[in-house]
Amino acid sequence: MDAEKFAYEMIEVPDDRLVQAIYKGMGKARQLRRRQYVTRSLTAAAAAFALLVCSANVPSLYAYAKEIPVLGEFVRALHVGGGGESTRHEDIEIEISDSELVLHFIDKGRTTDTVAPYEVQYYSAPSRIALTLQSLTEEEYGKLESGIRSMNGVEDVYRTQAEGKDEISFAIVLDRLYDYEVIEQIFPGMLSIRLFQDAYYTAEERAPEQKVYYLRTKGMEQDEEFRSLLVKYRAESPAQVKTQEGSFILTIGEFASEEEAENRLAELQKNYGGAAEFRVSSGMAKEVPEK
Amino acid sequence: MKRHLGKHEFADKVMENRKRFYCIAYSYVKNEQDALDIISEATCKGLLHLKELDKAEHLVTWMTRIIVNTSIDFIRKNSRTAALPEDSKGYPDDADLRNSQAEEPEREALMDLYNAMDILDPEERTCIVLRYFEAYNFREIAEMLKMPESTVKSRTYRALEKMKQHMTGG
Repeated sequence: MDAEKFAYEMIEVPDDRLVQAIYKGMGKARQLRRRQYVTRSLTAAAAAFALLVCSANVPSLYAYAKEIPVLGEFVRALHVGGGGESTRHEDIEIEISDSELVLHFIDKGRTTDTVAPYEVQYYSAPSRIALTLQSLTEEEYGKLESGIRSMNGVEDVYRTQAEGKDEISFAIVLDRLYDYEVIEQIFPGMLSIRLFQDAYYTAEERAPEQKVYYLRTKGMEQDEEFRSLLVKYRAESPAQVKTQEGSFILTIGEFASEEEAENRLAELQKNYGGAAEFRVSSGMAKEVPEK
Repeated sequence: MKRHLGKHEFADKVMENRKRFYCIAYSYVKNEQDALDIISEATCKGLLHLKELDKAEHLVTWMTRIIVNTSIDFIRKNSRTAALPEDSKGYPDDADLRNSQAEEPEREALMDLYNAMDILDPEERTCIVLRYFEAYNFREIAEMLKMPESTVKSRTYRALEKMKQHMTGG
């Protein structure tokens, strides 16, 4: 009696969905393990954080272990940088749990083995993550933005000008009390953004308010003038910030003192024939420029 | 020698046996989405407790046990199981077994048997699924479920008897 064969004949197996269900279970295990790990790490890291922030005099938030046990092949955990590779997909799937977002790319009903190219940058005034993803459709971005907005610790999400045609760039404005990390893994491909309350909050201490200096332009629409400035100052890696009134400014650098910012401006003026578009300004983690 | 299984080996084995695992879960809930949820949950549990697996070679039976237990939990939580008949006196002893008229079914009877499984309680269903659909012998089922072989036999024959009565309208 071939009982096993009999069972297979009787039951129609939805194989694509079955593979997804297994991946989902693996992802859940990974999240649970990660949560245990972070909980254990946070308290111990608090003292180290205080020392780091005070001595560096800038909001330096990242101090957690970079390699952690996950299912699938761990590729990297990062605060700033990029990764991924060309990944054919026809949809994305997002899982949100409180303050963690997991992004899968889906092709032919299955999670892809890799994730599409991405770049991450962090800015501390105002506190935000700048993300660029390749080969994302508008519809997929809409799904992603809506997921990110529902995460604890996210104040705002807005589109910024992407450099490449095949890229979508956006900024995630964070609540001051949240830090983050981005984890990439393959087999299955998974990009996760996890926000967590920083060490000061966990230790029930008040974090010092850090004033950060930077160079900025006037507020503009995301128009031709704005794009031409982006191109002109591309080598300076300008950041795009949405102001309270809805206009956009370009900023360059983040400095611990006004003097450092002035020096940088002088350098810029020398290299760019005056660089009249920029001036020194300042802000804090939870301070969005008015205009 | 004890050899712990790595998470990649675990993933490979689960993928390799996924259809078999799905069939087990489906046999309990008879519903695609519920069976997928059980597989997802069982995969998560398996990974979290991977270090408890004594030998890598036992992964399939170990995962089968997790799927069985997860299925039973699922049924209990969702109250989808048929209750034992009110006149139930529990499981028969060895003497009952020796007198049991229940016979192991032939292949052609399996279809009816499969449908009749709905009247069984989760533990009885486990014995039928593992014995007749997964083709484990009684000793293997007993080891998997960590219970005496006699209990497995008694549950199995009791389940067969219940199904036989159900199918003949008794």
